[in-house]
Amino acid sequence: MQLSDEKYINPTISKTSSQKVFIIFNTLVNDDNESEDNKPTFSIHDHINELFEDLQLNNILVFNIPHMTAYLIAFPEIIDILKQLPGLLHNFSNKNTQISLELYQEPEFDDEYPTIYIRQKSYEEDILDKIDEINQLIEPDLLGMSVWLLVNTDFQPFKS
Amino acid sequence: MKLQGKYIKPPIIEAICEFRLSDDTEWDPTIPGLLFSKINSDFPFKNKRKIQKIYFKKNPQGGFQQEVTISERAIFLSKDKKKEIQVGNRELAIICLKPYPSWNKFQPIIKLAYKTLDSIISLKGFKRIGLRYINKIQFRDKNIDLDEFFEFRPYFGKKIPQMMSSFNLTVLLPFSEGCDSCKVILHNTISQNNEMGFILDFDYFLVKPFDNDSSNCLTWIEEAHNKIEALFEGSITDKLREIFGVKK
Repeated sequence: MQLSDEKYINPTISKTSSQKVFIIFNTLVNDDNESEDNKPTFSIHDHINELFEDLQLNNILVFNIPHMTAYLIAFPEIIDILKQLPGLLHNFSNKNTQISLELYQEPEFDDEYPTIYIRQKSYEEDILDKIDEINQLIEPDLLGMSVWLLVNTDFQPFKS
Repeated sequence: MKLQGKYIKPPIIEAICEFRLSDDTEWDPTIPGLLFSKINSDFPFKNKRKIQKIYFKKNPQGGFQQEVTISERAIFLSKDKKKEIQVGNRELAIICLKPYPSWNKFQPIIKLAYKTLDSIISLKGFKRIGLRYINKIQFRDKNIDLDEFFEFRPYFGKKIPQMMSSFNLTVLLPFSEGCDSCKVILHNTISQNNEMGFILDFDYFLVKPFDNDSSNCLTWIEEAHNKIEALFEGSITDKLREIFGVKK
């Protein structure tokens, strides 16, 4: 790639195709100013995708995204609690631990609820105590809700 | 997405009509409750949702300043929980989730929510109105030739490798001499079993605020819908229409 001034006397953009595409300047739309009024029309899917991105940025895996999306559409109140998880789980953020958000299917009832699974390569002795502490922190926020969230471990190896 | 119900398997996963009311609109926290009392026969379930908005504002020094706002919206759900009316601080949104029931059924809900709110408070004007349709198009194949299915797609010259593992194409199209705009987005998405999926998203919105006039407002929405419908039809090929299954 030659970027020196010698190659281009008059840099221009030209199109040879018969169908031309133009870009015009619109003073009414200013994308530089991402003000609140310029924000896109609010969508439930955007809201849920932002949560997933935030969890994944904090190394919390989300399994079965379509199923989880359908659940969160039905029970949006749980989203605010899930948003707090990266902060609450930061003590588990290490290479020995895999954290994932999954839907737990209650075997005896036709019921499911989101569960945060903590899995470790070599399980720490006090893992259940640490998990209990987190459950105690989120429990007050869950009171009165029609949904439940549990932090748990199944003592299994990492899930892929 | 022929919005009158042209397709057997329409790809719409969410349709939204959102009104952001002008700052001079009187507002108080009892308004969502008053609205609920008038629509609860059709929207009997209540919920709430916190909405966090992060946006960047240019400061006079030329840098960017991050601002975060958290607002709460009351949500009123239909009996099947697939349709929602959301009311927040000077905001009203009407949402239809999959399965999209057709424009003939969505439009009356918009009208109901708008007219009910208009009967409770005096709507002065709008900072923004948006009509948005989000489509999810799923393929069983793992490799897709975009040219076969999309008339709206990224293009690059022949000297550039033509294989992509990910893309996100966004354009802003001006309408009505720049008073309206439509953001069109096409991007690939995560799907189960590594199948290829695409989001085709149309957000048609009012750029230039206008005063409230119910006939103007509902006409604007009708026209916005027509524009989105035409854009959608213009964005896909007949081969994709076949996948959606055209009703005869």
